[in-house]
Amino acid sequence: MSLRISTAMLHRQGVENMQRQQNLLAQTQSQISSGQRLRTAASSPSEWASAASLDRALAQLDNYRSNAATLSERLGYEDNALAGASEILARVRELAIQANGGAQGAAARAIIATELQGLRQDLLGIANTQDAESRYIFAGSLSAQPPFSFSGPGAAYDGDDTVRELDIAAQRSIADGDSGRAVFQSAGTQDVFATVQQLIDFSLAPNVTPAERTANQALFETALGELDLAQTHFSDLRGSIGSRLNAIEDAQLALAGNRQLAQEHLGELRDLDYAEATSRLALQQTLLQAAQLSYQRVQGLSLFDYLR
Amino acid sequence: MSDLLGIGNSALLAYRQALDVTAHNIANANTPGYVRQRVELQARPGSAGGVLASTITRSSSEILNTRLHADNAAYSRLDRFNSLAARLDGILSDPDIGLSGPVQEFFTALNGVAANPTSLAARQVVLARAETLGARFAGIQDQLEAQSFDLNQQLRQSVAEINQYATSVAQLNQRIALAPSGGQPPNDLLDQRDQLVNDISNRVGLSTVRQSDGTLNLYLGSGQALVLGTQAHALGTAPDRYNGGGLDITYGGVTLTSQLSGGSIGGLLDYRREMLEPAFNQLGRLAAGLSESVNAQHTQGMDLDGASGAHFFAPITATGSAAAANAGSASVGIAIAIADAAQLGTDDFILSFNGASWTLAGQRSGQMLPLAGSGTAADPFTAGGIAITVSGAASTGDQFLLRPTHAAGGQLQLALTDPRQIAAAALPASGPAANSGDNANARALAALGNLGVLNGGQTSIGAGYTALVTQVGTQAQGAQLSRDAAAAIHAQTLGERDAGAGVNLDEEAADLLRWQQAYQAAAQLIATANTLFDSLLNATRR
Repeated sequence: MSLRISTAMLHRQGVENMQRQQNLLAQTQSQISSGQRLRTAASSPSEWASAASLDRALAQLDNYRSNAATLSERLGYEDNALAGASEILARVRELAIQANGGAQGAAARAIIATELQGLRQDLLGIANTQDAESRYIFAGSLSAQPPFSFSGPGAAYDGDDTVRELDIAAQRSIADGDSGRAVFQSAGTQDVFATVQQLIDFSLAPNVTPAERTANQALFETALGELDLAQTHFSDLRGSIGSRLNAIEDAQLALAGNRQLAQEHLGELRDLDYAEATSRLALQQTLLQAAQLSYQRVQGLSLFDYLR
Repeated sequence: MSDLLGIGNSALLAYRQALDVTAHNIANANTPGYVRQRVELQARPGSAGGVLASTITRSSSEILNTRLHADNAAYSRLDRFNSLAARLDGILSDPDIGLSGPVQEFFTALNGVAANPTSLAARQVVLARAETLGARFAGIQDQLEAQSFDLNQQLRQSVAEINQYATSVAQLNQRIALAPSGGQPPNDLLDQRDQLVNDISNRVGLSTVRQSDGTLNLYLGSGQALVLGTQAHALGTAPDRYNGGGLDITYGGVTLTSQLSGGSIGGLLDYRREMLEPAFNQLGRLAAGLSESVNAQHTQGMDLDGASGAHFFAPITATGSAAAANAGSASVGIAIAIADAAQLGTDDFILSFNGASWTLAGQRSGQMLPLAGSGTAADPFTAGGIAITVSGAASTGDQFLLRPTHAAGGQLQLALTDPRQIAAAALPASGPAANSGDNANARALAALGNLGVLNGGQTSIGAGYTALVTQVGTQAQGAQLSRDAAAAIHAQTLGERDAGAGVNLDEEAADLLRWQQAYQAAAQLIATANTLFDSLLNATRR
């Protein structure tokens, strides 16, 4: 004898069957409307965890990326300032050599001295360069006040030796500038302002007697030597900035590459395959219709219909 | 001839009864718990002949019923567990509720200050993100507390329903026992009782024992009688022994919680123990780890006004409570503080005094933890990342529940009020200075986002949250699979029971036809007897 089927059970099975199909359909529909494969962590815990750790990696990469951009901008500022300082020193050299020429009278040398004074002032202006936030870039951490002021022949430095760094990769940070002391007071035996002052003094010094000429010549040579050292120091610094900028560019390339990889992987984990989902939707629709139809047919069968 | 009349009459009566039973079956085709009834026909003994509807049987199987009770309990447990787990999974996975985004944004904002340490705008962003983060933590804590509250409500309601059903079972037992022996079995009462037992087994696992007088005894998990003959014993609910916010199920005033299993109550209790309580503690541990690591780094720095860094977040406070039964609780003070967030686990602790010394054990794990220190304020007990100070005289057997991080999720609050207070600069060797452009401390703060500050330095805050979501997701996924499997088994058992006990309307229609024809035939017998009697009368008429 075959298994008895109760009418209530037949009804229940039919309804349960339809509900199951409707459930699956609703899941697919929610995937399609959100475009997301994973509805919650329970959809696939391990994939969810991978996606979440990729999210964190991406956020970190974005931090590095924005740091790299900030660094490029800051180092660009510094490079600009150093280029200006370098030009000033070149002009100072030119003028000094001019003043040293035998044909120059005291009046002409005084004019040169005046121009040199202007250049010394310009150089101080560069040493007190401000960034977009109105902070002095050559002041170390004491960047709210102008770090340099004339003091005697040279300049006093009120900044400190702090160098700010920013991270551009795990375990890789780059300085976003250099301290004023390292830039303007570290070449040769004196600061660069004192060197220019020496040349001003030289231009103003009487230059008539042979003894005066000899003394002046010694002063000129010492100062010019210091000037050349300062000039070399500036180009060394610019070289260092250039190599930092290169490193940043390399890091940016690597960041972009890693970012793309992470995003592709994330896409695979999270994004819905619409072609697959829509064909699944169609299949589930068919199954639901079949369930509904069979329910209708089965429920329509009753012996009572024939007992008339 | 009188025999013919008698036989016809007996057939009319029997088929009339058969038709009634068929009608009863048809009428109850959709009544939950109704068991199909059958008329047993029997030839009337003795020389007179005829038919007798000897009894009306019920197509019920004791074995299938017992299996159904077990399957009900298993299915209901998993169904309730699954729906709660799915809700928690949904909450934690929701990007608008979860912590993943806000944690990343907080550390990105700190990186922004590292890049631009003197920018008040960048500093303001950090404060705003920290507030958002605290609000998210509190939001999840609220959700967990709401679940905890709902769970207590559901426990109360299930217990009330069980008590009501148990009372009804006891009453039915009484009526069933009173049914006259030898008479018709009280089928409909038996159906009602079976249905009630099913309803109870949907709420808690039970076992049944049928007595010779027809009454049914119901026993809970470990042998406590819920119904004994005509007597029902009520379950109750009471705050847990530490007044920790959860409800215990009681029986005769004694806690029964750990002995109950199965049914919606089993699902609620399992969910609370396996998912909800750990979720509280894991969330709280994240808050404690974040607060402690950020504060520790922040206080090493210097703010924009040259002052040393203050606490960035308000400190997290651990909670604890004494067992209600403690003898010395009035005079004993227990202070707990989080000593090292990296060493925090996710279990709560039970601190016990055995008369001579204190011991500490994990509440869920039961594992003993060695206590370092002496418990005084100067030298507190330390274990599992917390420091415990004990004062006053404890009595032997006193117990305390220590919950390092249970409430911490709701406590992550920004302590700074001014963006200038963010200590972005390292404290310079030359001494504090206002308006520093240094970023060393902000960099260190931003780096905390990727630093292992939990699990003994293994897990970052972001990874810790992912671990929580993934763990809940895995449990929810497992619950879904188990529930579906239990549903299939339950449906199978229900099908088997229905195969015997369910009403099939086609079958009843056929029976209706059959009994109708038989009834008509019996009526014909009466008519024939009448005709015969008339013939006899006519034959003797003059």
